Amino acid sequence: MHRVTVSMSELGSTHPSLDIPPLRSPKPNRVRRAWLRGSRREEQWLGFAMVTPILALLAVFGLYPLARTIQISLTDWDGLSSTFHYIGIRNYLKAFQDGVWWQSIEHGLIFALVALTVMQGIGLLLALGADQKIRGQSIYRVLFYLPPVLSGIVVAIVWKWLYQPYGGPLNGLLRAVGLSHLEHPWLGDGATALWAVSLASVWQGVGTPFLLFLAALQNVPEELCDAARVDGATRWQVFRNVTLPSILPTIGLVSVLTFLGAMQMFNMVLAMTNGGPGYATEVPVLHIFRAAFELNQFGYATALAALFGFMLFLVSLLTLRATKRQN
Amino acid sequence: MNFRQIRSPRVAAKTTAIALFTVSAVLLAGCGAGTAPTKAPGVTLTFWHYFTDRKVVMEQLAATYQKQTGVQVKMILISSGDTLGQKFQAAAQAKTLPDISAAWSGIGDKLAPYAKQGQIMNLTGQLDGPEWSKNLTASELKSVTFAAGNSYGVTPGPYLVPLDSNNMQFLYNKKLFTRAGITAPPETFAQFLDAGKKLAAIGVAPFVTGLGSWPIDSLSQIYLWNKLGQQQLDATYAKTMPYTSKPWVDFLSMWVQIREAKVLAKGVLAMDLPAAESLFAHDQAGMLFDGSWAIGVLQQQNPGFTDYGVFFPPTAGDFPVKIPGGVGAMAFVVGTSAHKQEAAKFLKWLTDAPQQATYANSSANLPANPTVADAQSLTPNLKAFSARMDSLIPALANSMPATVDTTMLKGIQQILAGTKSPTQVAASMQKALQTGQVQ
Repeated sequence: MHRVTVSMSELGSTHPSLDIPPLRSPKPNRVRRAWLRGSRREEQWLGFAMVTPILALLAVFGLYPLARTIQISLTDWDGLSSTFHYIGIRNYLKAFQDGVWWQSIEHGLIFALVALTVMQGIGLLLALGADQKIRGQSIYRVLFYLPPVLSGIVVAIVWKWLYQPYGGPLNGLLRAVGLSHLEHPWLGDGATALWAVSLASVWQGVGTPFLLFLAALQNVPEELCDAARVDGATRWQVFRNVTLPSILPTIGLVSVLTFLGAMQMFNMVLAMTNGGPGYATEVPVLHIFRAAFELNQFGYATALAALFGFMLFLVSLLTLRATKRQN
Repeated sequence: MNFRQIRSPRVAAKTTAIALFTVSAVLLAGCGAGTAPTKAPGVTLTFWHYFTDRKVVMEQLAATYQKQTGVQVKMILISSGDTLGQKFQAAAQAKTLPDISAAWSGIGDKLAPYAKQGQIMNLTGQLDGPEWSKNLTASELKSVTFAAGNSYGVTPGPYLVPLDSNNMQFLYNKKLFTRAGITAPPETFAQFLDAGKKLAAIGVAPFVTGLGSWPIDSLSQIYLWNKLGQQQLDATYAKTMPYTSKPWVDFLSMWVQIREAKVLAKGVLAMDLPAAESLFAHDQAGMLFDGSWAIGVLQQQNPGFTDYGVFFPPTAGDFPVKIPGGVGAMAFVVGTSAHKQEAAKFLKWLTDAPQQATYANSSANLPANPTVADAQSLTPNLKAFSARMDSLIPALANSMPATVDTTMLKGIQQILAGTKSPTQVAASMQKALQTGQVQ
């Protein structure tokens, strides 16, 4: 594009101080200003009208339940009675003295740790495998994503059967290969129950990180990998220095989702062990459920739920920030 | 264009926005609020129940009732008693309750809030009246009644209607007993442990039940009564005797003996009752703790399995052995129903002899109506269950608080797993009482 320069003489001006009117609109009169202001406001109101249904949805299904949860958490409501008393933050203080609650948080963290390491690790390996140009690639994708589609209760029943001490396939297999000394009541022993449930949840959950990692891997620019290979990088170096940094934002997001999913584990524990033996597999959501529906301590249960929600929110926020900073 | 002309569309947009917001909010809020189900002309009653195995007979009875009276009863099957309890709670909050519901729990702290709120109808003057009470035994009537001076603050009176009766005892596999050299069912706790050891020696699971779910509560109740007796239980529940006292520690120590004798099936702490029943029905377990309904369940699981007997729980303490049971399935009239009198009439009809006979014969349950139970020809095992209906655990004015109960059951599991001692569990129960928190 050529820049066109025009001198004052070309414009017919003989003197540089010649008064040329500025290139802007004439000063609006009061009516015009008011009209413009009005038009802008009208536009704002119209915009507000457009987003109103969404705001209403948010208010009714998001903000109102949240406000009610906080309100109930400050009461001694039993979940049914028409009357209740406000007891301040007593439910929150009670939560800090509830040993079973903190034990359940600890179990949730163990589930999360297993999910973040084992489940995500397997998910990444499977995604790397499925990202290769191999025959039947789409079949592998469907197979790996099948378990998350199944209901948690169904998966729990299947795994409960696998672990059965009498006629269970796992113990049967151990016996068949001459390892009968390893036969064990996997869910009936507090030392193994948590890990047994965790394994079942890893099996069910691995498809989700797999799918997200695969999508991220397919977005890594091929030219970057090619350039690295041309420069003599090995497969590991390409992965370490090109692929991994490219999918780091996805890893951060998947980590947050995995952490939230593992901490909120409920249906599999309920169906496989009901939190037992003793409290060996008690998890936070099961503890909240028990307080609300078995012990009729609805106020306390909502306080636990609010506390738990805040903890998860905080951890998610910190993780996302850390990932962002690393990026 | 003047100011008025400029402002008008703005005002209109503002008005539209406010109107849209209000209408959306009202409409959305309307989604959550419940409305009572509309009734067809004539009376239609809605009955929520969880009697999966009795679904067909319940529908047959409803059809017969409609033919006789013109009143339609819609039977809505809910997957389980626990689910029904949660559904009822949600419906009570949303004011969308049915007319009749099966009870998911007996008289106690789980139903007391509903009775207090009038959502479970007080049937004083009806169920205990001359007409209806003929269909029940005195003990059945007592067990469905909130007693005067109850600790829940519920107006005294009968609230639940018994549909059948049951009790829980021990079942044993005769073939396995013979193989193990056990000549008679155990009558004492020592004999029970000995039988367990003999059964383990022939390679079968000695004793099974759902120790991972609710039967652990029923089993523990038997031995609470057997080891402590009514007086000490009353004293504990009235808070004049601590859970840390010697009788309670003795009761908890019994579970150590069970653990050390190795009479429990492997993995029993994660086992539910259907899994235990399956092992027993397939000759893999020698003894089972179960209810009278097990006869029907075992028949379903293995029709060829008939060589088993029933024995009364072996005694382990100084007090008489009492067993859980009495009223089996129960229903109640929803007190807020617009058709509560029609609902009560239907429940009365269900407890009349002809309907009870139909119900009992098709479900292999003991009927609630004593006249039917006496007349019915029962199998030897059902007779064994029926014969001990005089040994039921009676209702007490006070009961163990839910937090203490949960702590005790979890504690028994921990004792059986070897992770806690009886003294520690007793201390936890006392702490649960004092703090109102499970330990």
